[in-house]
Amino acid sequence: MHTKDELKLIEACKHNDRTAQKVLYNRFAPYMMATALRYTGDNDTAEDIVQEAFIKIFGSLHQYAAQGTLAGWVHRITVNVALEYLRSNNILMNSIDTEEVMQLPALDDSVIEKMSADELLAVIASLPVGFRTVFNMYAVEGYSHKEISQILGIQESTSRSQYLRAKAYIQRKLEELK
Amino acid sequence: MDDKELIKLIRDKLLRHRVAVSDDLWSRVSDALPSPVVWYKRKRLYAAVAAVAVLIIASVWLWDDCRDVAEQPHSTLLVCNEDSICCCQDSVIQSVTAVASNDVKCVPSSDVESLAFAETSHTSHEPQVCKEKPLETVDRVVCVVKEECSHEIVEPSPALNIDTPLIAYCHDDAIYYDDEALRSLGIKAKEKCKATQFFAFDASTAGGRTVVTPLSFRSLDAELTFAHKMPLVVRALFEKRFGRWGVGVGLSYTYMVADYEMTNNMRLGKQELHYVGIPLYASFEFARLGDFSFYGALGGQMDINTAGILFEDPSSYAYKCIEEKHFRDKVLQFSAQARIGAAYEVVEHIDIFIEPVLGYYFDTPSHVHSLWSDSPLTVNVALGVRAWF
Repeated sequence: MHTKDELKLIEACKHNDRTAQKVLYNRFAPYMMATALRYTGDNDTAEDIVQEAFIKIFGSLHQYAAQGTLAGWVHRITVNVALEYLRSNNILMNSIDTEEVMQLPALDDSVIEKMSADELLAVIASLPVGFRTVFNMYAVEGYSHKEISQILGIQESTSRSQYLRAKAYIQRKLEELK
Repeated sequence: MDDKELIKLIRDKLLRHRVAVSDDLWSRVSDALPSPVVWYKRKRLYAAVAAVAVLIIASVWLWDDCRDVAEQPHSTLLVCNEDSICCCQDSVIQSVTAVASNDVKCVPSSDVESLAFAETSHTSHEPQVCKEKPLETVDRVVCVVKEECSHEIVEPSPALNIDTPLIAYCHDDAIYYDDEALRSLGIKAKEKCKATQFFAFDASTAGGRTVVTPLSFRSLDAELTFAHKMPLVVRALFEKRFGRWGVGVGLSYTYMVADYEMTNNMRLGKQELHYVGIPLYASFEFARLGDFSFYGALGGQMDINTAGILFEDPSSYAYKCIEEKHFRDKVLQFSAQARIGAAYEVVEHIDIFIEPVLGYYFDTPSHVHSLWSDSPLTVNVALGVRAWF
């Protein structure tokens, strides 16, 4: 459900109204930056992705059917741009093929509960890119392993194993932080 | 902790998480945004181009003038007082000169009296001071006209005789005309310029007009010329927008000035008119190009005359009777208007705009000569500033 102001904002952005675009940018850029940072692990690349995502958003607002929230639509575009970046630079495939399997005990939820979002983000950002991508897609975005395998062009079993390895990696990081 | 609980925990922490972006990111985004013309629909582009083309073609087609009227031979006009004493002013003589042009003889002269019955005379560069003469002598009057009239000298025209009807006279500081149509100077043109005579003499100024009105007296013809200057219009509009559509209402003030002149200088002076108008319109934005926007509007306007003043020139004959005349035209003036505009956003929420405006002013029973009544079809260019919020 959109508020009247949000509909006006969307309409103005469709008209290439810079002021309205700036308002929309101010509203979503910090969330998009957090999302991009989860996928890329570094600020500069994350900002490049946010920039590219905004260009796509403003360029395709006329296709936005106003079904579902604007925030959700913006979020999906950001994730897609981030994944496209990883795919186009072959970062994803290279890392998935080469990362070693680690076997560690289950995650301690009490440790995660005590962590701030910034700390958790830092831990995720420190994951190898293949782990990080699958972990983000599965644990944060809610994709199934089947969907992940289709999107990333990998086996479903690879997605599962990458996720498990990511969890194990996080556990190890958390142990180090204790 | 099972996987679902872990996922929920992580989502709760991360999905609403915000990370500050660098200060220059917006400028990078803004610079990278494309700024091509976003034509909402190609059909609308064609419609806009067609509208502009029609406007240009119509303007060229209408670029005619009133010269057909203006170039008509001047007619005889005498001005006499109620005692049938006609004033032999230069202005009258000029008129006589023009009428009797077929009989003009160039004669040098320096003395009106001596020339009165002269067949020929010598050239004089001295403007002559004409004197009042009894009407019965008019048929024999031969006066020297002013230098600017090429020193022409005339003999009495057959049209000039002692039976010339009384045309106007002064009485109790008022001027009276013998024709109902000339009750006031604000007489409406008998054959005013039609739409085909739109751009009388000054298409480029888009506002000024010179309109010559032939007038018929009992047995004489004269002309009344109004040279309308470009009007000054100040408007304040409020527009409510619904997406690309908008409706607007406002208040406008129009100040008009015209110089008027009647044949033989019987009337000469300046007319000022003040109008307050209420415009109502619908607009549609059909394109954007970066900070530029392009739009069109259709609507109407009602103008109310709040004041009118005639300032008689001291050199006119009527000045003896009327120096200044105040009036108010109670007839409402309605018009239809079409605008095509381009606006540029100078700073946030402030645009400057330029709007060619095509207007048609409907005929009214008013006797007041205004730019709108004399030239109903107008093209103006409006410049302005608008703030939006």
